[in-house]
Amino acid sequence: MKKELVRRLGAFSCALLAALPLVSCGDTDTVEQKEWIYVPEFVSIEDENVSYYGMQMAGSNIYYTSYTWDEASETGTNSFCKYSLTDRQVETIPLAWPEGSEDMNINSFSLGQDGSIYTVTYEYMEKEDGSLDSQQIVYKFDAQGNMVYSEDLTKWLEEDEQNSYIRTMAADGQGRLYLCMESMILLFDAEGAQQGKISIDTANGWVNGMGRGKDGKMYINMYNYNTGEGISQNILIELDFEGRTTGNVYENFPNVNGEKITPGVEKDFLIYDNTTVYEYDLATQTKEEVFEWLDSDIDGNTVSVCGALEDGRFVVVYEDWQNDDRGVALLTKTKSSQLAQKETIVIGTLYGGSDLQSMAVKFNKSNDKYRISIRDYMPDGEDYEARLRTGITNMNNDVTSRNCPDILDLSGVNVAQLSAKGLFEDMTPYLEKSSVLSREDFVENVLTAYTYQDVLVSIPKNFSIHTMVGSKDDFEGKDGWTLEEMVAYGEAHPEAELFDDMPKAQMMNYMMVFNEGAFIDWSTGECKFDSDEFKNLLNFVNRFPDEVDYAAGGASTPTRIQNGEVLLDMTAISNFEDVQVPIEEFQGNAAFIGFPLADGQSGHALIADQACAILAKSNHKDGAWAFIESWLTEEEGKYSWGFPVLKSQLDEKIAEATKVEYYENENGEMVAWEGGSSVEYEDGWSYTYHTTTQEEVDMVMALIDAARPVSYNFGSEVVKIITEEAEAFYKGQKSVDEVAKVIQSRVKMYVGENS
Amino acid sequence: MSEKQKIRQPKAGRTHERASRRHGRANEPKNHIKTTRRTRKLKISSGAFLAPSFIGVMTFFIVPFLVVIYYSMVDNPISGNFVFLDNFESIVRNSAFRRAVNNTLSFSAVAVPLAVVLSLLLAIVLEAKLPFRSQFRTFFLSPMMVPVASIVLIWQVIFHYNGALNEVLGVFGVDKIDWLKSDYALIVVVILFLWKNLGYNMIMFMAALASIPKDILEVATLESATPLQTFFHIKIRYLSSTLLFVTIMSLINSFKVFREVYLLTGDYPYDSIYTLQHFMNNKFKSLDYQTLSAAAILMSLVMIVIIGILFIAENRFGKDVEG
Repeated sequence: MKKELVRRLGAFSCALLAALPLVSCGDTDTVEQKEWIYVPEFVSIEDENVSYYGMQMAGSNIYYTSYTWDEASETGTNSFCKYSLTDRQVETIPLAWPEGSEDMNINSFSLGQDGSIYTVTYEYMEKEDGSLDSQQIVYKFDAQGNMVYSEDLTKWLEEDEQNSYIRTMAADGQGRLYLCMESMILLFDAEGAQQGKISIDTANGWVNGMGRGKDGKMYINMYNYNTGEGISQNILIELDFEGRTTGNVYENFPNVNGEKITPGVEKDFLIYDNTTVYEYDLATQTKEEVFEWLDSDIDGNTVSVCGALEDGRFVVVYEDWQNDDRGVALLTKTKSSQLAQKETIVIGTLYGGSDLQSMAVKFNKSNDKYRISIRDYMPDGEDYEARLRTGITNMNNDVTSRNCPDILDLSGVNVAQLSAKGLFEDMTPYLEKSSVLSREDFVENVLTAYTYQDVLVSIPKNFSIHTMVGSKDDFEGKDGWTLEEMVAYGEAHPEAELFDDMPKAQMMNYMMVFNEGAFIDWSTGECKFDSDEFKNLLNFVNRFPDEVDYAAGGASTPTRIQNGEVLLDMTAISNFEDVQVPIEEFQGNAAFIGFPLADGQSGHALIADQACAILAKSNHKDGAWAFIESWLTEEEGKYSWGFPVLKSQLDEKIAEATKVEYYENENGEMVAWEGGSSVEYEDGWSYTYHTTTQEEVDMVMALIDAARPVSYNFGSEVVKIITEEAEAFYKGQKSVDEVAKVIQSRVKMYVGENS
Repeated sequence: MSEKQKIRQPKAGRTHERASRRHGRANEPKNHIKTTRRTRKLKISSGAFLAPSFIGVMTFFIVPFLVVIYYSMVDNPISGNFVFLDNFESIVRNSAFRRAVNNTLSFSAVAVPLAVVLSLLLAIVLEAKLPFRSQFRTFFLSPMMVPVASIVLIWQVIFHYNGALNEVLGVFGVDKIDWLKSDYALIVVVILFLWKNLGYNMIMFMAALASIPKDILEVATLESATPLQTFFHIKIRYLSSTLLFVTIMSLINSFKVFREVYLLTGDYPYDSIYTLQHFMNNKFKSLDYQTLSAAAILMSLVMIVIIGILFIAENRFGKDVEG
């Protein structure tokens, strides 16, 4: 009996011991190290006139065009150059243009497998009446620059307006040239004789790119959507030169960057997107990862060329316009154990984003101790909703397990929900300890947007303001208004629409932005969706159209406002000059009235963006903070979309916006330059921006100070229920009382569950 | 050694064990040592053969159950601070949970007895020598084969506000009824449950009815017992184990109807059909594993009690049945 009891206790203890390790205990050191890394060697091309735009690779050479300007003779010269990756020398290839040709401008070029050079040029001839006539001519040169043939493409390009320019060109393994337009491919044999064309069915898609495979055949990459089945996908289509038709179709080709498809090393194609380089196999129609750009300290968003050398190294050409950084890198496969070891900081993200990738590359290059790795939760696929659901599930599994990342990109994340569970680290102590940043350096209003239960979970990088604008005559002396006042305002002007192009669902969304609290008491779980106020709101929203056909044309919003047909406009302000158009719409008499609020105060919505949070379970919090600190203080932040949260960068943006440029007029006087960018609508209404005035800056800053944070990232369940149920009322199938009753019932369950 | 000697060996072994404890192991006969070794080997090899099943049961039943208990006692799955029974207290106070329990109990209290009684009646009717008996049987079994998506589609077509049933009612001058978003929703779900499960239960009862000894029924008829007496005093007794099984299966299936209800009405349906499964499903989606686990444990405790009562009842009413 005693033995039996001991045995049973032993079994129970074993079971408990087995269970414990399965429960999350916060160990995040589970990052898998890659065995091989492609280490970059950045190459400098010794040619001050090198143009990285349109560079191409063939064999172990890089080809490019170079433009030289001679100050003395005030003439420019185009050259075709070759950079050898073997001896690192630049060589100009003198192309034997036809006699009499002057300064030929190469519009695009391509390279054959044997080193042949194919170019398309625009040539202009003056007609008798003095006007210019243009021709597009294709040339073929051998590797030494001797002309093989030239063909005037004008007659083919004039046949069809849709196919009037060459999008991309490539030559196959037999030297036959393919010129790809919108829906047609012109064919030329190796001797330059035109051999007909291949028509491409673009009724349900478009051509993304064209290129030669490892088998020497030509393929095009198409985006195709089957509207009948609601499926969209990328496909690869083989081109049949002899048959003048398309051949085999390969489905599920990855969504890749660039118009060029290049031959692979071990598989048929070498392709890449913003994050990864792959090889694609035609037989299995699958892709296999070769390496990630981030591991090689290259920003995949800036890559324009990627090719492989015979010795197994990869050649990459990149152009970073934002940071004015461009060049060539040679990537060599190296065992990761031979490289300097750094602590890996993992960033989890749903959407990825080019800014995150760029910032990670910059950080990895500059930091000796830490290295960023990005974990993307959204899988590949075409169904966005399914991908998002899977991504959120993957993210939730990670954060509740031992595999949680160190930093979480908050785009698309329900921050309030996760913050309530203590997922995020409070950044306040880090700000206090930082020698570079302090809380006072940031726009306080924005920090409030990411403070939950007194925990500062994140500091976003930028923000924008969304608000409503109306005529000052109607809102004199008012800083804000209530829902009832808005409804009354609409009813007092039956002759005009409240908004232009505003469907019902969107209007309801805007109404509930700040007013969920007017109908829900979270402390008691009481809801008031069966009240008269809510029924009035439903009746009010019912005035708006079910759907809006944005392509229908007609008078523009500014025109309709100025004609008195529309009373209000919705505006997003992400730059200081953005207030100019709304002011002009109301002919200098604009009032930024904001969204209606229960207390009638200013209802300007502050929407923050690019926010990352450190996870409380991370074992690399110092490294995570180091990344976030560098992310926030990045000098180029002021050039990003939206207002910078860092006050110093915001001040720089103000200085930039208000800076008046001067030029010398014909009288030798310095005159202020007023030729800014402009916006023009189809009906002819236009506006040209002027240099931002101090008054406009003060107006925007006042809006920022008064703005209240709101998140559009996570759709409110309450609004979803209202939108779903209200549809029957909008269609006249149910009365407002019936719909309000159902909404009350369903929302009450939701509130009861979460209060 | 003969088989009898082997069988007898344990007794001798036990006696001899006491002797060996007094006099030391050196006095043990060689046969006993061999037997002990053989027994140990047998135990080890048995353990090895049982291990895969044991590991499977541990991994998929015991360990997850222990993990659920763990989650029910922490504040959330991320920070994992121990809060003991706070989660149980909070969900008992939660209005949505109370409503869900109420709805689930109401639904089960109505649907399960109906499923058992109606299927028994159907089985008795179909047991009689009716024409087209096998076609009727197939008719009642066919809903089991229909995929969930098709069931949802059929129910939407019939019970939607603009569906077929309202069209028919409209012909008779009856106003449209929002079947899925009103207090009638519970009736719709009960009908859905019965439609899906009657056939299976009916087959179980038909099989059980066929296994009742005919001689006893003949004796009852000869003894002038009425059909009702025969049914309640003989057939029900023989059907007791099947009744228990069908009741338990119906109870389990009453929880599974959540699948169709969820597809018909979403995360937050009308309050009359908001059940425990909705509550738990929504809590899972919002990473409230602690609340979900507490609710699951409470539900399982109730299920244990109910099934225990059913077993006791079966034991009482069926104890004198042969076999």
